[in-house]
Amino acid sequence: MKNEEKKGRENAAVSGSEAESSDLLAALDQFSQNSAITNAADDSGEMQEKGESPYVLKIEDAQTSTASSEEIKYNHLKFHLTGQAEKETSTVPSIDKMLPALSYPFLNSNLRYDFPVIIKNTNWINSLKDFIDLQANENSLTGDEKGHFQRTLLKLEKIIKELIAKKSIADFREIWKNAAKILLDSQNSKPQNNDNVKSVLNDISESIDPASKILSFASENASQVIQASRLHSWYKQMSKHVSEIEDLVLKLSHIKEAGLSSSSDQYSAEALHETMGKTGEEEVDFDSLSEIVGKSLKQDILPESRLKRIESVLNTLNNWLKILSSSENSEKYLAKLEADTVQKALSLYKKEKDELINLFKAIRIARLEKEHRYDESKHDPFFAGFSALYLAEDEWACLPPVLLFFNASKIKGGDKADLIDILSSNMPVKVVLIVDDLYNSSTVYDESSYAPGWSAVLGKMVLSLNNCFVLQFPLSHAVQLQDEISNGILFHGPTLYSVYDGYTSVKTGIDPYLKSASASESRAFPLFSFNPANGQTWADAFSLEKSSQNEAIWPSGKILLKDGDKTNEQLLHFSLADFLTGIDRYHAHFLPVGRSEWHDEMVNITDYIDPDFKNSSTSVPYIAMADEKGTLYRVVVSKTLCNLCLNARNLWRNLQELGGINNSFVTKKVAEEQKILTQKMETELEKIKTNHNADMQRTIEDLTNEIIANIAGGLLSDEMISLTSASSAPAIPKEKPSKKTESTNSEPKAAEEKEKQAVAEEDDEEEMAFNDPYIDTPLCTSCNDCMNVNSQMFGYDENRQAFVKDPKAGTFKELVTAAEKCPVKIIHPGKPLNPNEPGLDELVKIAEKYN
Amino acid sequence: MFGVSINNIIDIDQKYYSMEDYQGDVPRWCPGCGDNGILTAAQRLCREEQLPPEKTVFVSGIGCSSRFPHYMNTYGFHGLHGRALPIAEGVKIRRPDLHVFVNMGDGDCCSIGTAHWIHAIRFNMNMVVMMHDNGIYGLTKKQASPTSPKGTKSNTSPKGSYLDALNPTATTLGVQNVSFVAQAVEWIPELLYEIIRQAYKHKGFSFIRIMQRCPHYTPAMFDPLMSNPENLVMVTHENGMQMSDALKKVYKNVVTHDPSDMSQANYYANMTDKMPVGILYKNENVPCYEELRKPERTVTAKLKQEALEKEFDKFGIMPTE
Repeated sequence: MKNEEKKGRENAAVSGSEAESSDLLAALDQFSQNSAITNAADDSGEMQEKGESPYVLKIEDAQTSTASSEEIKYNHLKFHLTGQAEKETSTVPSIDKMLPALSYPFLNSNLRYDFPVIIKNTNWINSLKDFIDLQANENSLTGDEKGHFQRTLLKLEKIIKELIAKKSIADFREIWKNAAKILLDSQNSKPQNNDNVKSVLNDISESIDPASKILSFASENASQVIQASRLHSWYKQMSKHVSEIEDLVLKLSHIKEAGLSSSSDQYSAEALHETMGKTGEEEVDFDSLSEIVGKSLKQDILPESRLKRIESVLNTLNNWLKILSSSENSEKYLAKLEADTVQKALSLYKKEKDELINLFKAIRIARLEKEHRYDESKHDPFFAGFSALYLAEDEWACLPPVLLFFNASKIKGGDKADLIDILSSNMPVKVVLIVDDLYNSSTVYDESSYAPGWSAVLGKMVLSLNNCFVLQFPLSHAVQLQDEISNGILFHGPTLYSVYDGYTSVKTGIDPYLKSASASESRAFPLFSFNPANGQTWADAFSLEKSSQNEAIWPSGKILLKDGDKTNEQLLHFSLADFLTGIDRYHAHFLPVGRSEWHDEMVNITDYIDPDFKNSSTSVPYIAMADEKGTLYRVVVSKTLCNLCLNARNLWRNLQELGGINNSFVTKKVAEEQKILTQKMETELEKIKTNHNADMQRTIEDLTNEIIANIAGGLLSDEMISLTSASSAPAIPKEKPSKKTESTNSEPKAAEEKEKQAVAEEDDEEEMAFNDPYIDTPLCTSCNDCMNVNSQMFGYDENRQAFVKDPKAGTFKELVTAAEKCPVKIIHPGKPLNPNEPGLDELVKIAEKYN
Repeated sequence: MFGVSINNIIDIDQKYYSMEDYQGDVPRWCPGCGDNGILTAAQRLCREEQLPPEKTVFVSGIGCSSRFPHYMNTYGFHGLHGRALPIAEGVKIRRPDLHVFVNMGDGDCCSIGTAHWIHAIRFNMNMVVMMHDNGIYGLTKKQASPTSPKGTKSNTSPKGSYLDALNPTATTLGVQNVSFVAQAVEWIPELLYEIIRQAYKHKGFSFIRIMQRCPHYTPAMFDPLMSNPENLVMVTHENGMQMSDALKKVYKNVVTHDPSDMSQANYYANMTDKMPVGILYKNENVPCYEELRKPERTVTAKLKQEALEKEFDKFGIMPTE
């Protein structure tokens, strides 16, 4: 982001360590200097006086508590272990008025996220945000107008969001038009700006596909998203066959027509009478005519059986062509392939399979018929036994997948068992399970033991079936996972989409979108995909790639924390406990604590449940939460929930291992290998050391012998003398290379040639002198001289640099005067427009200097 | 986190500022005055960077160029002769969130304001300083200024000035803590804008000497530079000034100079036969005074009131017994 480069903005309060590219801001970066975030970075006194930035959390001033520290510690520990606590005396808000500290900055009505989404426009799914960004960049506007327009679009986006919030699904084009109307009505004060904006907004609404829909973030829209993906993938798959089917229909119709026209019926007396009309009624004996014409009839008329076959094939093919003629028809056809019980899904699948077999049977017969190669004796038995086994793989892929929808909270016992059956079969049934009971299922639980719920773990259970595509995701990530969703539709076998909609037990103030996203963030509902089509090993099929911070156990983010006058950055983790604060049934397990009662025995829950972390027996786990005003509190968590967090952690660790992150087998093996390697190295080192010591010993002995020998040989030997004199020999200066002089000679030549070229170019430019007056606008210094001569003739562009606005608005004399006055000599008067202007000869002469 | 970036929160009610939003009074400079080009470049910078007018301050001293704040529709301070810099420093230390620009003439900066100039370089506070250098006192009707070339005939030097002209860029480079020195000419708008933009981006005291024509008193002073593009040396670098290919066709005398190289910067600043245009020196690592002296305690309205009342109490009438 450009903003971050700006001066004094290094401390921008950005929570969330991922640097997700914000496309909007990239598009608008040159205009978004003054965004709310950058305001947060200004930590001058004045700024703070004006109002707190919502992105900075603060903690209360330190006050001493009335209770002694031992009492407080005892009280917290008691709550942690038993769930019982003395009533809080301080003014700490209750847990239902708080939310996790890390989600606090996201609670902003101006946050742009992936919902609402648009389906069935140019792309099968697209977020409104991306659509708006695209329009903001790709329009015919320029300069200031574009800047204004980009702002307008953002306002429009907000209006659309408000409009769609009331419904869950709507016609996108209509919503766009309504929003544009509301926006333009509210901006009536400046009508001159509105015309262009209005026309561009109108252009955009015309470019929207009339079938496209806009969806808000709502539970029922999970099925809409999957349906749109199915329509898109299936339509694309089928369109490969459409041209062939059309061709076959045409050829077969020709054969049929030709056959009919040469049949005996055509030459019956009645038929001949009809073709002749009333004119020959009395003069012609149609019976005789029929007899005569009948005699000359060709012998190869279409046999009855062939005609029947062709008609039945044509019938089948035409039916399919009708379905495939438009995406609306396809959608209507696919709409029938939806079930809410396993049994219904099965019967639909069987029916659908038969229809597909019929289609490809018809196509094959038609191919033979087209070339008159159908041999009844040979082909009849073949097609009588035509079954699914005769279909090629790409033909199988055309089978429209049956969708089976379940709401986890409403699913019945029998269906639970059947579901596993259907998922372990090879039938391409796509099961969409809306998880609306995450950590909230009431079948098995008491105060001391909770379970995440059946549907929350179903995804992981189904992994063991091995031949089923699994995609477990929060609905909030639908746009980011569009490719994975499509892959699930295209997969030849069964698919399980386990979707958490965030809609259960909605806490006021928390956007369901945020809640849905936090389920995957907190590892309560991990995001993963398993695609057996990619290969049968875990490394090929299983992926945690789209899960946020998948290498870590708990994702972390930074917040800015203001303590009195100081602002510090703090790293926080988002755990399952943070997620559970949003569900009513767990509220009794949290005890918010004001700053006056904080103590050093408090341990962050993510550390507390870490097996490697050393807790004392008096440690109390807590999570960080914020109230509506952005004040930070610590919230003590009960032992029961700590166990639940530990379970979630272990489940996540297990998935990580499957995904190849910190795999325990690998870690163990690496440790073993390392041990062997170290041992090997140590023995080698030892060996080298002993060898080295032995060598050293030998060298020392040799040298000692040599030195003794030298001394014995005498210091003033001839050798010694010659050694000392050799070092004072003078150095011989080296000659400079002669090549260099040659190269310097060639350089001016090249330069001359270049100059010649440049001169030639300049000559060309001179030849191209214009007859119309013009100004070298980029060189204008905005000195006002020309504007003082004639402000109608000259004008300023949006950079306040002059151009010839209207050459007819003044005389040639004024043009020449302006050219003379211009201090940077950039006005070129051209040739006079009015040949009758007085004193033209002299003016033209002067003008030549400036042209 | 949560599948979205916090950067996606934007202030949609924010206004888009166009050039007109930054235009104040109609300039009263002489026709053809070079100050107009500098004004346009400054307004363009504000527009391109979308500086909110209420967050922007233009401070000036006395002189033709110092009429600048009147023509900007932002906050402004038309100060005393030579005293633009102390005022700007006062603004900056109290309100580091504001974008501070200073406009001074050669007389203003290099004569009566010299002491402030030297110390302002040393303080290195984050601001853009534009020194409009026309080599003459224009507002007071033609007196020689410190940057008038030797031999300039004026009302105070009818026989021609006796001293060599002061070199503002070389002087600035010689002061401790210097962090940004550039030289521009106002008759090449593209480069003027580019240099002012780079100065704005630089964190610290960004000093730009802008050669500016006075059409009335020194109309011919820059003729050699304007008529022969070869007399300008375009100092470019990937970390410094960059120029368009179109401009390179006109100004062919282009050299590459790394603005972090002080000795080369001195070489270009002291060039006498030709005039270098570009960013001569840039060092991002010099600390800013407002950051070194950032108050540890935030001054809130409440604290201010307490302090004021404490002062007033000293003069309050105490009740007699």
